[in-house]
Amino acid sequence: MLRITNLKKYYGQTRGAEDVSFSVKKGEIFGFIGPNGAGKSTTIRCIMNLINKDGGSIEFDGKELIKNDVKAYEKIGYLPSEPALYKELKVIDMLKYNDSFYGKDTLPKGLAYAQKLQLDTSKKIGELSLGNIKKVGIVLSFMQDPKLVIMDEATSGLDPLMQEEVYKIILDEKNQGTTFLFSSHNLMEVKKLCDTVGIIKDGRIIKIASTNSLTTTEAYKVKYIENGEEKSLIYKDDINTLIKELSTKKLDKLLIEEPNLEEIFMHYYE
Amino acid sequence: MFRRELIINLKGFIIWALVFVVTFAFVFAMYPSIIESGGEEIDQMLQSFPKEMLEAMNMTSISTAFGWVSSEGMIMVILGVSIYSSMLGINAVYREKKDKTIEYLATKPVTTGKIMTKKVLADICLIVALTVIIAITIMIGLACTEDLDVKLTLLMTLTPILVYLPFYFLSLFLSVAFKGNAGLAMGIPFIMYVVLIISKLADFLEKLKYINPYTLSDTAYIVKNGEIGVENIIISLVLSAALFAGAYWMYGKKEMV
Repeated sequence: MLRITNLKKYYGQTRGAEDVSFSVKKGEIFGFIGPNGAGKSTTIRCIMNLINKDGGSIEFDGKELIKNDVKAYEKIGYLPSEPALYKELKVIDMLKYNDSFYGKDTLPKGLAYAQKLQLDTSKKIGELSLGNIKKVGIVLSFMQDPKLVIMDEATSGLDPLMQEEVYKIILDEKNQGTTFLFSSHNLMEVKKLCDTVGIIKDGRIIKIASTNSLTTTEAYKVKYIENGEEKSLIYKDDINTLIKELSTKKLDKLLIEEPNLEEIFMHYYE
Repeated sequence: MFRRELIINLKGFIIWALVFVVTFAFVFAMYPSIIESGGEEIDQMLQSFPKEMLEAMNMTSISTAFGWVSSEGMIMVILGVSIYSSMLGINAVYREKKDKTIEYLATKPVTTGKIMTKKVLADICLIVALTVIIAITIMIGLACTEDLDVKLTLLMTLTPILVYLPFYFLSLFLSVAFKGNAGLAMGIPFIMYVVLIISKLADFLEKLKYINPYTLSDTAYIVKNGEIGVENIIISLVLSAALFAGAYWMYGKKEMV
């Protein structure tokens, strides 16, 4: 569905993306994780042709995705991390304006999703909280029944109840065949929603794996207390090496458990 | 998008239209009493000023309402609507970037060319509408104060569109090439007006007028000859088309955010 190959983007001398390659398969939710400045938003903005890439290719449905390819972008929904919408418009007018870009009636779905997310469509965008603007952005990204939805920090700024509602919408859409590129900082939601996870560091993809294989990895978290100080490490290789290493220490307590996604993520970053 | 662009600019349009309508209504209401209390003396006083200065300020006769409109009134109109046109040109595509709404708009199934064209069409409609409103106001005012020469008044009040279009497209071009701002929008028409005055002050500065959009609508020439000058129409349209083509090309190449 979406294939990024050797994507490169520099802002002058500053690195945005160095060598990003990954594929998103049809019908899956691909979690795109990494800390601030790793290159997530740069990659997404290159896909949406908001910025010009310096190298590499981006294919959608087997075709290079180029600027002004109206037919391709009709099939892609996009939610930026901080949606900027027209403050003077009422929510209902924003939905109608969005509807005007598509050659079909997208308004009923927009109104249904607005209701699900408890949006007051008679209010002006300028009167809404950041969380509610985010909700409008979410509605807009789904209105035209896109084949691919790209979401950058989809639930940031939403309360837990609304986050759950958004997860439901995403999973419903996925069940109907929609594909997702889902960028997030929240590893719990990545674990909950995503089929595959790609970890980006310093502008490069350093790990791509299914969420299950990543969380049921053969790696273990080893916690121990040495001289009153609690220490931990992620351990993966030969168990004898670990025992040999631990035998050199004077331990007060030892605990070995499965790491969560957050700890695995940190492991790749350290 | 076209309709939305009109709506966004409607408030500013109404304010500008009201300023001109109210100003002219006030002047036309006051004019008979001004003329009665010594209009001819004012004209005689004007004759004592140097010819170059009168030409530079476009002052001929202000002892009649038409005389005042064709000199001072039209200067005010042309300068004001040029500033308005420049502001529209600066904001046409730059506003979306400044407000960050371009991240929404540019990810919709619409080409950058269509975005710019629809905005430009909406803005040109507003410039033409403002020009027509001012023309109607002046015609009503003249009809109420003295004999109205419909053809000459129409020529005089509508021809400045030839000035507004290059100013609009110059501002559009600059806003795409560089970062647009209101100061630039106000500045260009003012600087060009100063250049126009300087070019009229001395013969050796005359060539400066060829780089000035204001010369495309010479009210004194129109009043004297009853015609616009075909070359002015051609220059205005070619200049506007070239600036639009440049802005269009650059906008397609530029990063949206």
